Amino acid sequence: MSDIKIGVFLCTCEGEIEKTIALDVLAQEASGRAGVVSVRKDSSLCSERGISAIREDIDKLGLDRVLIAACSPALKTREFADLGINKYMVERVNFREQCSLCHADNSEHATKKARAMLGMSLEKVRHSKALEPVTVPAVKTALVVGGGVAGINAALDLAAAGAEVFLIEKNPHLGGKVSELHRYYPRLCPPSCGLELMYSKLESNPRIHVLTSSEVESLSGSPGHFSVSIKTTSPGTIKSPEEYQVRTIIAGAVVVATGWEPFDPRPLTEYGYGRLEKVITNLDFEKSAREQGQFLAQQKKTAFIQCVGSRDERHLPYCSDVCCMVSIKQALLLKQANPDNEVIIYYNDIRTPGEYESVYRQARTSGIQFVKGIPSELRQDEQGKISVSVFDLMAGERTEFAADLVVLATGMKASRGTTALKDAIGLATNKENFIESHLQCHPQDSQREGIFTAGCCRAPMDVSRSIESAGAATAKALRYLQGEMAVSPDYPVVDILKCDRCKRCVEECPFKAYSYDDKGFPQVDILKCRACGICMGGCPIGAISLGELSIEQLSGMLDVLDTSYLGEDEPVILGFLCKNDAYRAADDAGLKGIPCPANLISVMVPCSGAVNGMIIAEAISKGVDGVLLAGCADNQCHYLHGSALAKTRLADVSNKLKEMYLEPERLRFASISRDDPEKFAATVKEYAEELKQLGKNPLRIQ
Amino acid sequence: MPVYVVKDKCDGCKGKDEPLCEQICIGDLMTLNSDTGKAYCRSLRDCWDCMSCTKICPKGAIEQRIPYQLGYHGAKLIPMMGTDSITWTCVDIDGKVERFSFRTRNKH
Repeated sequence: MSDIKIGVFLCTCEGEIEKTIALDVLAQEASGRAGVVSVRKDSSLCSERGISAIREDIDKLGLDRVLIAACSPALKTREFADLGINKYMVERVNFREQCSLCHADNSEHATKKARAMLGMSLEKVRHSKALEPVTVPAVKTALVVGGGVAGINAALDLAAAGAEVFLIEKNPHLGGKVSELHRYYPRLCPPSCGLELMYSKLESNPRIHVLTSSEVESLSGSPGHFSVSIKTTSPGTIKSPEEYQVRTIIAGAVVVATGWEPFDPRPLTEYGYGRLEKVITNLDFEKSAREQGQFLAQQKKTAFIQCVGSRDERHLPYCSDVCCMVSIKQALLLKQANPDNEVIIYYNDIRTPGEYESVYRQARTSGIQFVKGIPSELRQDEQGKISVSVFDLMAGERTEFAADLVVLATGMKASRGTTALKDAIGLATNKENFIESHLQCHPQDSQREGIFTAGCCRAPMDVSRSIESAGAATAKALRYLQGEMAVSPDYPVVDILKCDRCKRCVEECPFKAYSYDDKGFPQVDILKCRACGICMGGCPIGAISLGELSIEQLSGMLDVLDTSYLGEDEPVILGFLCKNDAYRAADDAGLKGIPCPANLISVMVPCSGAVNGMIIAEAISKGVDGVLLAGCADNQCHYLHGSALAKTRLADVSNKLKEMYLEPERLRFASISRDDPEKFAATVKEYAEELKQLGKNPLRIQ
Repeated sequence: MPVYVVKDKCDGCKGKDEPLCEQICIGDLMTLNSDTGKAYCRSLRDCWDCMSCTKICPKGAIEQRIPYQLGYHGAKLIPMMGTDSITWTCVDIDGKVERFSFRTRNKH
């Protein structure tokens, strides 16, 4: 440790930081610390002059570690990215947002807090290790599962970007559900036109290999080189039975486009589907319209019933997105075929976002009736007509209609293909059986790295959005199809000298990135890992460390933390803030000038789930008065269950505190969203007050 | 007096076999009940009261019953592990609480 050369750079931010913090005092103290070779104060470190001053010092003094005390590490990342030294050897201390700006009213406290922060960060950078990105080979082959419109588009896009593509489809033909449709909306053009074009492109592209009657049997390996075994059935004849052929494909990325299935309305016996001949589904309508030339013109009186099974707790709890537009389209087709055709659409709500509103308007003006109300039952009368009796909620009266044809607007549900694939390759689905990861931020991701979703296997959507999602999935997949991949060295490393093989990390990893090596030790697949640190937080013996933040660094920071930095009577709170939201919210509190007590010192963590129970216990043992863990609300965590696990672990340590006759209130979890700096400031203030009431941690060194 | 596993807290180390207490027990006494998924001590009278399992349990699910030679009913000895430190809480039969923190040699 003796040969460590740390350069400390203090930025006054054009006087902004120095207004509150006595930087000169801190500079003088820092120069006396072990390992510190130089301390330099600058009015603007992020300027070209500032950067070249840092570079010069590194060159001249042979610095191997740099500590920059300036603005938040979330800012100016580009400026400080390349200082001519490994970026893992550069540490940033947040003097501006989380010290000078939010404690502008109390310069004395701000300086004291800055001193403590500087000490902790010096200790952190002392334990830093230089890390380099790892380059991993990847094949240039992609696999697309599902030959519907989403799958075909994904295959074409991938091939156009230079990848070799295997497109597999479980049916003997391509086209999926779209091939069963009569017309697209909103332009009412035939799908065959678009499909034919796609088929010919598929055929003419030598990089695309189409395997029909094929299914995925199993998938192993990592992104960049998945090994997928595919079973192809050759059609049987009377003489030769069906034959299976199994082949293995090495694929860099997988796009799942396993589509949807229509909801079967038979369980809704009141509508008599399957019993009454004149009651059909919207997909039956498409089929008849496509196959029987006179079908549309012949339907004199037609009733459409919306939301059949959809938005219904007992069947499909969600809205299937397309049924409103499908019924409007079909009603318009009926009117176009014969303007004398009478059409009524019975609805709960009509949902026609965006451009589709104009089609709805057109339907309204073309004589199609819209009745708000859903019939409770359908009956066939003596003339063979279906009598539809509805209480019209708008008119406030009951209306009767004798229909020749009733079309049930049934919704979409997850396909059997999705379920089969989920079992074959272990994908996580949401409670409606659609494949989902984090809907807002990563809609096209699955919970497995290198596997992406396109089309209706993700959620019900119409053709245009399916094609769009295929493009999104393709763009994401391309990263894995470049021949090689650079992986940032943030991934966790297991110290197998300490590991007891308890397997908790393997069980808790949300992305199933862990497997066992030949001796039974967990090993992380760096390509599947998203460096959330949930394994580091869960390891009972602290044997797992992330590249950017090790257990050793955290423990070292606690060692040097002066738990009386604000004096004997002020409580000290250690805050572990999730870098996605709570840390940013804390920064914002500073930027907005929301005053915040200086009792909290924050440590940025990749996810609240990355904080180990031992570290929390150690903080309390060392005399910290309170530990605040701040992360997302449970259902918002980018790493799925990070914050939920953090709460469980915090509860374990608080139980221990209770047993030790210490107050469990010394540990707290707060859900703080990115845009709520007020809540952050209020939480810290309230907590500091509460801890003051509670009194000093008895374990604080007297 | 042997260890006592608080069943509500024990999660069997989620690993389905060989929880941490089983790995660390020098007498090979702790093991997992495969029916309940919880750890238990299979021979209470052989326990040496070394408290290794108490210390390593990440859920704080293992309690130590103190032998009468050291303290009567009501006396407690509770360890809390940090990464390089241990904090002991000692409670005597009169409810007097004392706490001690030490560095351990479990260096990183």
